[in-house]
Amino acid sequence: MKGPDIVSLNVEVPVPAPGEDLTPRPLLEVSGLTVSYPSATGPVEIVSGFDLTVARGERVALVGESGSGKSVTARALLRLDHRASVSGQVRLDGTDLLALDDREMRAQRGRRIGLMLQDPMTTLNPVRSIGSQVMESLRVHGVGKTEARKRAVETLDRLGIPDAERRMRAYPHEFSGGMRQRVCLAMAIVAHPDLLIADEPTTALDVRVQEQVLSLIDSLVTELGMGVVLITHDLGLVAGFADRVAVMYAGRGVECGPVGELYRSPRHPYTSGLLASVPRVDRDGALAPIAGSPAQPTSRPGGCAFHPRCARAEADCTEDRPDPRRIGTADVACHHPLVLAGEGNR
Amino acid sequence: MAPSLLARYLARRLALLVTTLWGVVTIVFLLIKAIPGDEAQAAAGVTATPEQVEVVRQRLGLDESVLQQYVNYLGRLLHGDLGTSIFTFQPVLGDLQQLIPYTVELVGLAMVINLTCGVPLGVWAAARHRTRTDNSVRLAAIFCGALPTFWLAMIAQTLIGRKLGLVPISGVSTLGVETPRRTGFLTIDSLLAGDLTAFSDALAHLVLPAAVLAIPFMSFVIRVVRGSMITALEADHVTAARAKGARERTVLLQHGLRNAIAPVSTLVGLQVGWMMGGAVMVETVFSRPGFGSYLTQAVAQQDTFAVIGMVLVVGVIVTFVGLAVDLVQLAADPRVRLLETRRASA
Amino acid sequence: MTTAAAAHAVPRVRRTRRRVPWLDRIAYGTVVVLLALAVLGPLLTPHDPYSVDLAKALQAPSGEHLLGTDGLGRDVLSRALAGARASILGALMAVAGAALIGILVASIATIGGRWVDDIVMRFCDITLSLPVMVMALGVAVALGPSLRSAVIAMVVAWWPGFARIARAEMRTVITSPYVEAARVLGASRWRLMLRHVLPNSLDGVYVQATLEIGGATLIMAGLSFVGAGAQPPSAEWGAMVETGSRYLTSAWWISVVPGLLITITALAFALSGDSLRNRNHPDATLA
Repeated sequence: MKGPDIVSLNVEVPVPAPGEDLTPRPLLEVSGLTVSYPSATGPVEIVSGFDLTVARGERVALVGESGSGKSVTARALLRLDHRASVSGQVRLDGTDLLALDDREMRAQRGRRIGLMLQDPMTTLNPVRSIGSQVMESLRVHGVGKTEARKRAVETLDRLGIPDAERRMRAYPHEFSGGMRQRVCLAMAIVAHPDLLIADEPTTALDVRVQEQVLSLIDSLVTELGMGVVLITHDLGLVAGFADRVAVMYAGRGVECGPVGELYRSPRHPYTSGLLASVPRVDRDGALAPIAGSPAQPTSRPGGCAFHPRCARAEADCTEDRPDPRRIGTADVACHHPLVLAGEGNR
Repeated sequence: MAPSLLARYLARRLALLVTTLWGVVTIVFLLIKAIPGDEAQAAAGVTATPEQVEVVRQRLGLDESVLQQYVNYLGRLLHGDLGTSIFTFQPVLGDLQQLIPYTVELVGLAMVINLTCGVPLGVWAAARHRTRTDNSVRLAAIFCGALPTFWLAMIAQTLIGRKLGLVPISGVSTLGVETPRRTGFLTIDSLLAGDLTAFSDALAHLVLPAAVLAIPFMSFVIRVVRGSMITALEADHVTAARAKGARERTVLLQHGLRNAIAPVSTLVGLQVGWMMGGAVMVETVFSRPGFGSYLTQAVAQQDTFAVIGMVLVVGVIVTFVGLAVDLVQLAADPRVRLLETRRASA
Repeated sequence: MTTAAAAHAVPRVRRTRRRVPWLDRIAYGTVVVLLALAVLGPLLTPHDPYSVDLAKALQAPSGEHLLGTDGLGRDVLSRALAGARASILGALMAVAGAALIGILVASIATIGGRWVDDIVMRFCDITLSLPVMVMALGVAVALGPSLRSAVIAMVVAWWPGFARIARAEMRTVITSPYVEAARVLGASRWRLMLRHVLPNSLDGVYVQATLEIGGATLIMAGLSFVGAGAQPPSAEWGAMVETGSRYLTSAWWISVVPGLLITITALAFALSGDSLRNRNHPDATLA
């Protein structure tokens, strides 16, 4: 690997003392996150009571269809949209992010949590040089110009931008899509945040470049000991990358568990439907799309939001909103989950 | 942009400048030819005898073919001959050299007021998009654009000048305040002479007319800054900048206003010319010598050549301002650079 | 693939008529009143707007003369009403003329191919860069100052703006699939232009025209004010402001009344045009 090793520069990876509880303390704890936006007809709830935990060094994929509220969740964690009203609890390393004032929150952004967006064409400001935009991530947190420049060049170099020193002066339009997304990744991680939120970071790229970018994120996580939340609608992408998967539907988490089990034996009918609609090489048979269309935030059905499209729905699904409960290794919010023979439905 | 491409761009731009100037001259020539009645009679004056008219006709070459006249006209212009005023019997260019500094001072200060008020208001409205503030600023801008300049000038002159006595009501300097002339600009000459009394006197005469002239133009600046800022602020790079932890001020200026330089500078370039049009009314009301009041007098006295010369001068000034604007955009906006590079290498 | 299909699933767009804000209603209403005044104004005058009576000069607003009298004893209200025709119809004619010529030129540029297009648009740019006021003064002095010259001057100075807008829209329309289909079916260029392109590319021109009527009123009045438009004694708002300028401290109403009318007219048309544009393109933010 070329370029200086970032780990050796200034990141302390916590090493558990002998005898200490080895289950890592979660880096990010989200519970009951609720986000609503004002509209002409009153506030609309986009995310309603979402839970998520991410440990240091853990890769969590947040999966859902468009409109399920996953991008809104990402922005709410950083409190980026002042029009949104956010409630619930968001703890980063013990700090309650929702309790911070604006100035304190600003200090968290970029330095503690990095955000990477979907479209590298628009994530970079067309009228400013690459270098100034990467350096900005450090400069806004009080890093001096020389130091910021040095670290920006190192990071771009580490991310495989050839001739990084010279290309600092280049403008976004002089870069290809893949290179631009590397620059976006550099902007997100140059300040060495503890947590990286990547919102569909590969959707706008072609398949070959997708893999390169993902494997870069992958190796950085290992090097820097970051936690990652990868937001995507592409289940195929998740299989090779994530440790855990959280599935979102209509603003709620429906199932969250380790990637292997979730793929082998999905518990929630929605997860199972999603998996059945993805082409896989290890299975034969026709693809089965989920009937119906996703619930719109303005007209979400009562009870379990998925019930109008669910084959397993019964009377209680239309009335009670199911809360997540532990089934095997996963947390599932469903009254009638898919259970394996021998497992009891508590 | 590479040096050779820059050279090619400049060559292309200068060629455009020449064609534009030629276009302006041709339009003006067509204007002269469209005048009904005998041009020689007009040039010689109403009291001229038929013999005198014939002399003028031959001197001006009006007995030749229209095409030959066009060629002669171009030739005279190349020698700086804009024609002779039939009223002052002075060459138009000479009259103009004495008067234009007054107008440049007026338009210059008006432009400063225009931008120092208009740009921040536009930025403010865009930052508060879809709020009451935004709407009020937008409506105020529309209102400013609906005020007739000449009427506003009269009202301001009466209320602020006559009733309140805050500033002098007319002219460019108080009788008895003498400034040795070097550049022709009263403000600059008084400063050069180290005469602060004369300087503040000149400024006092200048400030009200300039403010009045600026108001309708502010209307456009506010709306264009607001519009292009709103577009810029919707872009992902703004979200990215906030996610880096940038202050709102940095976001507005570095990722909003900076991206709006191109449309705003285009507008400002056009406004220089329009302001010279507005100066016609403002100078008339405030009895200031200058391009505008000379033009009004010339219109009143049917001094055709003086008017036509003025139109030509404004055309030339506007053309050169256009060149300056293009160069500013080339320096400030890499997207423009890219476009021009493509054109130059095509 | 549910996920991908869902990613492209577009929520059904419900076309609702958005409520017209109260300010826009007032603007539309004012425009209607102003247009009515332009037609009927001269018939509604309580006094003869041209009858001079020096004995009654400079009277303040009273029961007999609601808005007072001017320096020659003429009734200001009557002159303001009579002046609506010159000021508003003048502006309307100037804008209509400029829009027509602009559309015609844009059509020629669109049909004529690249060279014609380049030359025509270059010419438009040059004319546009000359300030309307100065251009109009040039034309007005060439034709002799009168209301008619002022209208012609405005047309000469303003058609390029309309030509640019119309051309931009025509470019978009002419490359659209349904025009392409008509072309494939063998429609001639002129037929394409008249039946398909022209009717579908005029929305922007209409909106621009509404916006510009306000500006045209301002410039027409300005031209009269500096003596290049309507000549005394004709009742025209700009000229009336000019006549009153001498009496601003003693008889303010002579100038203030026509000045306010000009402002109201410009404002009403500007707000209406703005509102029309917002309804056409709800997300258009550029002024």
